[in-house]
Amino acid sequence: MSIFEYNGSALVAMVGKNCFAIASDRRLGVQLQTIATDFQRIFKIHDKLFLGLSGLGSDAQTLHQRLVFRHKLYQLREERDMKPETFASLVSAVLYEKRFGPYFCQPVIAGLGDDDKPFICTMDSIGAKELAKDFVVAGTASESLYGACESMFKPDMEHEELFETISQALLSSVDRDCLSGWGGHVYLVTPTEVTERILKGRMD
Amino acid sequence: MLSSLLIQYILYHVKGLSFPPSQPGTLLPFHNLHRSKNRHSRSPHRKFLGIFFTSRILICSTGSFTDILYDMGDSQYSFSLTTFSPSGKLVQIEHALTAVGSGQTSLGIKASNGVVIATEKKLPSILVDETSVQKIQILTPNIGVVYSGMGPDSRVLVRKSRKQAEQYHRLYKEPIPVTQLVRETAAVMQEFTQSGGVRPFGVSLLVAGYDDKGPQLYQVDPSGSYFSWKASAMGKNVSNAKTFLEKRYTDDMELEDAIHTAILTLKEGFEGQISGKNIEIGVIEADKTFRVLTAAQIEDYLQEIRYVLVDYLEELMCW
Repeated sequence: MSIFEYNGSALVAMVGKNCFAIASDRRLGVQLQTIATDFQRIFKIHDKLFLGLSGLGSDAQTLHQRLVFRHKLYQLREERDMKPETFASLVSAVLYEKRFGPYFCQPVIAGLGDDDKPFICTMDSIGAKELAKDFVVAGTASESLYGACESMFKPDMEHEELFETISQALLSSVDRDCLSGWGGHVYLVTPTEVTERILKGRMD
Repeated sequence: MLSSLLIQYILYHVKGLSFPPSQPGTLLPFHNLHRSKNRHSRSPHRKFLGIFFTSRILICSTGSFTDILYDMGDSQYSFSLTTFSPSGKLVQIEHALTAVGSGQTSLGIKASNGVVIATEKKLPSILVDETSVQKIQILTPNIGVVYSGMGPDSRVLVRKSRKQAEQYHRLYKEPIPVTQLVRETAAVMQEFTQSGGVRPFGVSLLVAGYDDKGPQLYQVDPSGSYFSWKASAMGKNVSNAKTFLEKRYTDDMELEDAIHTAILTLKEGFEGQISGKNIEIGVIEADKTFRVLTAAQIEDYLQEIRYVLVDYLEELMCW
C-alpha cells in the first residue's frame, strides 16, 4: 500500500462564477482503523486563498507550517498578499526542493486573484502543477471524485449552487472509498465573504 | 620647539581640541600627513615637511611612544571600513561617495507615464569605439539601471541584481517588482560595508522600472541606503543638475517632456558639444519594456530641442 493512502483523504475544489469552493473529508485513519473524525486538511493562507493537502497527515501539517512561514515572510517583505498563481509556484518550488525525499502530499490550491478571478490547481508530491478551469481532485477518493465531478459540474454556477454541487460530489465519492469519509468540510469563497460549513455524512 | 609640537599634536588628537597652532606654518603639513595617509593629492613640498617632522619624532621618541602617535587620529579608521570613527562616521563609505561625486553625471526623471534615465558617456580618447561602451544596462525586461562612479564596480552589481531577479522569477513565476530588486541590490551594497576583506562599491545606481505600481525611480548609494525619487541626479555637478531639475519638474510631466528635460539637464553641465554618441538615454513606459535609445534616436531629440530653442529665440526677436 502506498504511503499516500496511509491516512486516507478526499479533496476537491470547484470554480463557480466569481467564486470557488474547496472541500475535504474529515477522516484520519491508520490504514483501515479510524483515528480521528475531525481532521483538518484545508488551510486558509489569506482571505482569498486556500490550500488543501491530501496524503500523509503529518506531512500535510508540516508542509502547511512551512508554506505559512514563507507566505508570512512574503507579506512582510512585499506588503501584499500572494496571488494564487504566485502561491502555486511557491508550493511547487517548495515541493521540488525535496525532489528525492518528498512530502507525501498532493496539494490543491484555490484562490481569487486580481478582479476576483477564481484560480484552482493541483500538483503531485514533487510539485508538477496541473491547472484546471473547472474542478480539481486529490486523495484516495480521487477516482470516484473525478466521476462525481464530471457528471455534476456545470460552468458559471452561483455560490449557492456551487456549494450544493461540491457537497454532493464529495459525499457520494467518499461512500465509494474505504479510507476517506466521516463527513465533510466545505469552504465557499466569494469576493465578499468566506462560508465554512461542516457536512454530516455516513459515519461508518 | 619639537616638544611643544609633540604636545600640541597629542592634545589635538587625543582630546580632539580645536586647532589654533602657535606656529601654523610648521604644524599644518605634519597634521595633514598623519590624518590622511590614503589621500594622494599632497604637494611634494608638504609631503617633504611631513616626512621631515615624522623622522625627527621617530628618532627622538621611544617605541611605545611612536605607537601611540600612529594609533591616534582619524587615519586608522580610514583603513578598516568596519570601524566607526569617534565622530560616528564610516570614512570608507564617505570616500566611496566621493568617488561617486567625481564620476560622470547621471540623472533620472519619473514622468506620469514612464521613466527616463540618462548619463554622460565621456570617453578617454576619440579613438575608443563608443558603440562598445554601454553605461545603461537592463536588469529585467522592465527594469533598467545607470550608474555614476566606477564602471567595473557597477558591473558586479548588475550581475548580482540580474541573478536576484532571475531567482525571484524562478520561485514565483512572475517578474520581480522594482522595489524588491532595489531592496536586494541595496542589501548587497550594505553587505560590502560590513564584511571583511572587501570595500564598498564606488557607485551610486539609478534604477528605473515600470510594474504593477506604475513608473518608479530609485537611487541606491554605496552605504546601501535607497530612496524613491521624482527626479534625481548624481555624479559631477549634482547640485547644479538637481537645482535645474527642481525648477523644471512638474508632477503631470509626460515622458517626452521628461526626455527633453533630461537632455537639457545634462547639457547644463556638459563640457563640449552634446551628441547622440556622448550621452546615453534609457526609457520605460507603460508597455513595461525598458529600451536604451540609439544614437540616431538621441540625435532626433537633440534636433527637436534645437528647433524649440530657435523658435523661442525668434519669438524673442519679434517681440
